[in-house]
Amino acid sequence: MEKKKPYTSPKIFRVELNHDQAILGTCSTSSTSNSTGGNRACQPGNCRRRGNAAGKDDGAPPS
Amino acid sequence: MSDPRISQIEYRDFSAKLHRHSFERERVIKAQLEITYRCNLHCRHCYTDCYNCPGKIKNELTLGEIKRILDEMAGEGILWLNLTGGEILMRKDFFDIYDYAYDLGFILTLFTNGTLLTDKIIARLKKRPPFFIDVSCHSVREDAFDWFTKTRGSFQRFSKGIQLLKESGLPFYLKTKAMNWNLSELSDIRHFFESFGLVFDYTTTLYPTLNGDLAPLQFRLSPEVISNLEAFDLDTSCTGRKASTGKPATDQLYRCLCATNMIHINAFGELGTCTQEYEVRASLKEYSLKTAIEHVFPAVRSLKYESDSPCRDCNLYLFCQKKPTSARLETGDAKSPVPYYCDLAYNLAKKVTDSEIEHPLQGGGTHNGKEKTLHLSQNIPGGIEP
Repeated sequence: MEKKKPYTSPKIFRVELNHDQAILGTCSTSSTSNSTGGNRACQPGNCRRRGNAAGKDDGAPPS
Repeated sequence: MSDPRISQIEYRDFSAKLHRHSFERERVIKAQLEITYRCNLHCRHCYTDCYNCPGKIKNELTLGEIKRILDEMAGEGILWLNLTGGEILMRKDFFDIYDYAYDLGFILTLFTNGTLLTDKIIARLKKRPPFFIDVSCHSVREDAFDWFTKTRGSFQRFSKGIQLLKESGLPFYLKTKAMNWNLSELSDIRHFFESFGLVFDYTTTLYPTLNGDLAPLQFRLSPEVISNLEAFDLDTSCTGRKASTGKPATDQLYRCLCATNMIHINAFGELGTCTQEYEVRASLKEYSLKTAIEHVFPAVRSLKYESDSPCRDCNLYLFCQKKPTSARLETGDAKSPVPYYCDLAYNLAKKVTDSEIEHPLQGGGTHNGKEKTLHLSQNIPGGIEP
């Protein structure tokens, strides 16, 4: 049986929206995306490309 | 003045953390909303222009319906919202939509062709700026740009639009698609981007139109050209791991991020998991956003390769850019391989792996051979060869 995680109280952070960082913070899916591991895959190099990044943070799916 | 008790984190860290959580918990945090198919241009590669006509436009979402959907998005915890079209500024009520979304607190991005930007619109955006604006740039040659958009004067208006954006200080990017007709001017496009202090980048994927016309595909670059063009290093993915060949872990039709953390809503109010996903949709004119997501996401995830399609066990799937809906339009079957993408995956894989690579359609693999024939009948202005 999976051990229950200890409770941690919510924390509030201040975030300044910095569009220059929008391309960079996109690789969150990497932990499940290699060819032998998880069910889902991202294509090599895609995350670095504007307009082609599956995880990019502009709301738009990959084009 | 900010409260000193509240610590600040970088946007990149915030975004990465939220994306990771949303993916692990399959929670939707991003949406793309096509607010209209109307457009003042008629770009030759456009997949939506087929619906840029009065008979289709009358079925588009009303302002009231869009506001209701935006309310529901906010209620579901969606944070990033992209407004796109068609051309977003063709809607007379664009700012009613924009302001409503802004007030709900979305991180807003706008996709536009830039040709309808005016001082008045810029001034209004400056008061309540979006996260950023993406403007499409097809060419830096006036004759070629106007030929491609089928609209005389479009390059002049585009140039004026991005000049206004530059002067305004609003955050914007230019984007382009590398195609067979503009390939020879790619370095000029790069210089044009850089003259605005912007990073040059491009995509190469083209899609059939929403009503199934394959005409946009005639502008595709060949797989050989693309594999030699690709600017990024293919030998490492975002994970830092070396990209490799190998069989997929599942039979799922969608092996990408579809049906995890983002939604797409078209101008008719049909919800899917991606701009190019039209295998399963639910109408938001009939269902709530929550119900639509609950219906569509499991249905998309449940789609599987059940036949002996070579895609099912393809060793090159990590290099493949096939989209099932495009495959259905191109070959008649979403599960069928698209030889173009097989060739491209083969070329990309060859570029980054040392081992012997077998082409996906060799070694007994077959496809259904139903590819439709493209009609190459365009008159391209002098000096540009498809």
